[in-house]
Amino acid sequence: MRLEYSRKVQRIYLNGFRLKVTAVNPLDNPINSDQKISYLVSLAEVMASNQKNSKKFVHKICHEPMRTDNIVMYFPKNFFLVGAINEKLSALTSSGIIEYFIQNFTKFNTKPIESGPKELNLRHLEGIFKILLIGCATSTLILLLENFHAKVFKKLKINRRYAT
Amino acid sequence: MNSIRLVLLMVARLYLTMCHFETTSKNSCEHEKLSPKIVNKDLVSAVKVIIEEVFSTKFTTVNIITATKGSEQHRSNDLMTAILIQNREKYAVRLDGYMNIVPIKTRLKAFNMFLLDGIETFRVLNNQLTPNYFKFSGFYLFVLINGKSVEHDEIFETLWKRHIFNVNLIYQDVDAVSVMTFMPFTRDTRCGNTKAVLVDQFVNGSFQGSLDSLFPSKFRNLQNCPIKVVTFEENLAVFRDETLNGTYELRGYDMDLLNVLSSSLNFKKEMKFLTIRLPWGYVLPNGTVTGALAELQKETQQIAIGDYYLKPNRLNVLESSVTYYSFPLVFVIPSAANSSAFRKLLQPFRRIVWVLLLATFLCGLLVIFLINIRLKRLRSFVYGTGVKHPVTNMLIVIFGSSQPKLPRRNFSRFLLMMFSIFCLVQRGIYQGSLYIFLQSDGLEKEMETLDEMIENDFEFTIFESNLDIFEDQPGIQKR
Repeated sequence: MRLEYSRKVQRIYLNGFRLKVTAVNPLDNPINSDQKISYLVSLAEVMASNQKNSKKFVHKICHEPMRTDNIVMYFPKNFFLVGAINEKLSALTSSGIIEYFIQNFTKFNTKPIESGPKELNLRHLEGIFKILLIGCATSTLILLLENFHAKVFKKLKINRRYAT
Repeated sequence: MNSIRLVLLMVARLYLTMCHFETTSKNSCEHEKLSPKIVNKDLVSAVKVIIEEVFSTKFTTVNIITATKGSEQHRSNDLMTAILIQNREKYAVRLDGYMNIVPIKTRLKAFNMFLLDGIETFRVLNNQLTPNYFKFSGFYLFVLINGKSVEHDEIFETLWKRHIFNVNLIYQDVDAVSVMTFMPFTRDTRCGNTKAVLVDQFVNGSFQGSLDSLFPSKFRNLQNCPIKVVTFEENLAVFRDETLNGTYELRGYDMDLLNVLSSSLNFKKEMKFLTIRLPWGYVLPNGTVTGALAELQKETQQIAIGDYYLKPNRLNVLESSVTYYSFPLVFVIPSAANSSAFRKLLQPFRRIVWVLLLATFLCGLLVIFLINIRLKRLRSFVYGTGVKHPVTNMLIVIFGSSQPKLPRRNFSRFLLMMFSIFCLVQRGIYQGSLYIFLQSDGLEKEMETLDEMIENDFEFTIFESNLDIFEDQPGIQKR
């Protein structure tokens, strides 16, 4: 199945997109940084997976969502309790209680992001130390070459003097 | 002469009033008995109050359906005429016969009044009450034109089984007009009880109780009656949590929500946990329904909960609640790759800046080379005659050290000054920016938009449970 994408009209066409359908939950494994794949899933599934696998890996999401989906309950047609349940759901939604229920299960124990200057460690300065090492190695090589050149040149000079 | 004109005007006005109503029956305007022999004045007044004070405050159209046969038809026509005459353009009326109910194209019939002569007619009428024509959660007033003789309980039981619950019967009793209904959930009766109970009585031109309670709310308290709920394992919405005694407890935010609904409406949850493959269920294009949704369609279960998306194809066969939360559908992307140690040193400038800097230094080298080889006479003008190692001096300027020997000519001094300023600015920018980059985690840029992913030829993977997201909008998905 391919989903074509038109930048001009900001639309996605179902036929044309490189879309792979999987029967197993794709979020059970992390995506490596060199892989060119993306999973199209609900944010609820990502949150659940991140909570389950937080010690091993954490999934990252693209800032731009595909679309937003509404969560509902389903009933048989003309079920008598629909009106009463809708009334309660509206009250629970507007009071923020449902939001609270969801946050109870989706919040992570994360460290706050530190702001301000950081101590630089060896990992940060690795590059410049490598340059220093390469520079030292190159200069040692040049020293040896110079030494060699000087010895050879001196020998040639002595030989030339004796020859004359 | 004047009196004859007055009578003619009154008849014409009555005729116009009746024809003003939205009508589907041609006979309504041709009825020869326009001057009604009112069957029962109190019954007419009570019905008028219900239509005007209860129905027309919520809706502007009232559907009146006559369900009478034989000689009873005249009585119902008289009753209807009497009701219509009293309508002072407060509401529109649609008239139907019970054998030829005409649907409204744009909506379902929500406020309905039936003129009923007996249980036999009701049984025929019941077959005509289809969800294609009538809104079952609407309001239904049955006017029993023959009084109490009709089997109330059978009417209520039949309608309750069909999920029609806002039902009132009204009839002329011995000394008052009585309004009856059924209360399916009351304290001392079984669940789903359909025994007729008196709602109110119309005595001396008014109802005894409040008009708001003429159609009472029946589902505020379900008296701990069971409601069947089907669910399944669904991320954090519903999941099984093992308890200390080895049994499983259903937890999750949808379960919390269900518990609140259960306690506020006072019903007992009868849970069914599905462990089959794809338990949430699909509505397939051929109309087949699977999983938990099939249980609802068969009415073996009454509520399905578990992070269900609102999908148009499901609404064809099921009823949905209002939206109680929204989750975006997102793209999970690869983590940003770590930058190499050398790449960090190059990160402060973009590639084009590095190219221009390199080009500047190469130009300097080329000028020095040309002067040394071909244009020795210009040496004193460009970098001074006493400078023996101009390339080393250029590197000294780039890295910001002091010059061992300065040129004497003005042009060469100006050239050195400009190059020193250029290098000073570049060096300052690089050092400041490098400090920030060294402190960062050193990660490459992540994908930020769908455009970027498509440009980079990404492959998109979708879990099969989400596949029918696209089925509802074949062809185009507008963002």
